[in-house]
Amino acid sequence: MTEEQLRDILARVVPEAPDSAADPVPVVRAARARRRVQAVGVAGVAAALVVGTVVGVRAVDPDDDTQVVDQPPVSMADPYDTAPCPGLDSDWPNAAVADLDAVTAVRYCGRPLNGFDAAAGPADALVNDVSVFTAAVRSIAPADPGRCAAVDVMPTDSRLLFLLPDGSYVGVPAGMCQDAEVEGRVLDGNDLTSALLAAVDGQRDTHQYAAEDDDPVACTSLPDISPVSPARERLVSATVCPQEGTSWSEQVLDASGVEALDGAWTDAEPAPEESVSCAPPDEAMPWIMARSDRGDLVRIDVDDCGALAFQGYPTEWYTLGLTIDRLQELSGIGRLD
Amino acid sequence: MTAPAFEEFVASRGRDLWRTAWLLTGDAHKAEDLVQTALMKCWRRWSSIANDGAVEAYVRRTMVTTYTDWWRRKWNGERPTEVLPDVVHRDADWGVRQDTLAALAALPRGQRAVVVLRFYEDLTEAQTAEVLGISVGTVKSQTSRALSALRSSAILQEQA
Repeated sequence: MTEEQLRDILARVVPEAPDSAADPVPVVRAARARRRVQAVGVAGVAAALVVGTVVGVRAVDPDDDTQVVDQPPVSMADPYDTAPCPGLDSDWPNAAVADLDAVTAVRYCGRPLNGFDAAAGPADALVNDVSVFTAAVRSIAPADPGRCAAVDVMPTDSRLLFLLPDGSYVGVPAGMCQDAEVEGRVLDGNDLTSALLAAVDGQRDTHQYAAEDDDPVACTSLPDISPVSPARERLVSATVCPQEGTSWSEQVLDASGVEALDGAWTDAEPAPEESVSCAPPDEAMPWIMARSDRGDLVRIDVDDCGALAFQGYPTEWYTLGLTIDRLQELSGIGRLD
Repeated sequence: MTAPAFEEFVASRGRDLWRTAWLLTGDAHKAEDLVQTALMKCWRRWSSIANDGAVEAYVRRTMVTTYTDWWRRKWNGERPTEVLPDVVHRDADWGVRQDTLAALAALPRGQRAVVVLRFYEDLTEAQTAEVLGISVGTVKSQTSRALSALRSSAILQEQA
């Protein structure tokens, strides 16, 4: 059989395509539906993250530190510069929010406490459509005093900072089982955080902006609590992080590696219910710490089959359609000799 | 030349994409699924794709890489079968079609993609390499192995 004969056979056997193949409506409808599912799911991000940190340690008392810290007025134009988090060594504001209508920006700030690390929030503050967030907060049910009687949570000093028109901040606890007083009502800090993440997600959908930082991420970094989405954000830098005692080495991906990772990230799909199972590898797989164009720090894990995976909204895993071995081929990353 | 709107592109090129997808998957439903999956990926980035001015190449690359990478996991249970499921009508070429699909199904996924791109889409070795993200040398070796396998297929020999 010659190449020409093969061409003839292939051309002859291909059937006519159905009319539905030329109909864009189902594709657009399905794509929009998937996008909506991803957006709606963001509200649960914080809940999932906090639930995952329940440990046998008593919660901190948020009433220990009540104050308002004056800050110089800042620009409202840039979500990255607006309402910056206070330094870790300074006193953090902690007070009731008297009037949500006066708030001009909101930011999540994480701070370690008692030796426990705390993840940072989105790099971008909520600076647009704050009224949407305000309405969401007003619909949150008051905290149940008995809600945390049976659980202890990891102590953090994380806060939601509310920027006021005069440049001052009001800060309320942002964690699960921490009371946050807003307009005379006591809310769970985690519910407030969920509302903020949903609002930042909406801000990202409707406003185009990007962080300037594309420095590689250190492997000691924690992934941010953020509404990062493969359908929207791009990856701009990444570092392969080895598990201790393995043959992998910590390596920053070069441009080709980042391009390959970003391509797979952009095309990430919810993991199929019946995924491929593989025998545990001989040594623990590395993970990848990546930075998005919005400034999010993202952790990408490697499963037993070597495939890259990312945990997005509350419990859903996404597979990137790329293996660590393929990434190794594309980027030149390697193992220790 | 102005890049087409997404809807225009699907209306004008959707059928051609489906035919390529059918040769890749060997099944009408899977072909539709593959085309839709690839187009959904492209829809999200259509404005940037259109600005690049190479819409067709991008969509084709997305579809083929979706087939070779992502569906490797999604269809991990797929095996070549004697009687291939299909919904197309049993016209005069039905037997040839089934024989061809059986021969293609026996090829590894990468070789099958190379065959479809080289001998159905009529891409050059360099174009095929670009679509699949592999070297020209790999395209040559995959083509050689695929042709060797197809030539050893009794059912295709009869058709040739």
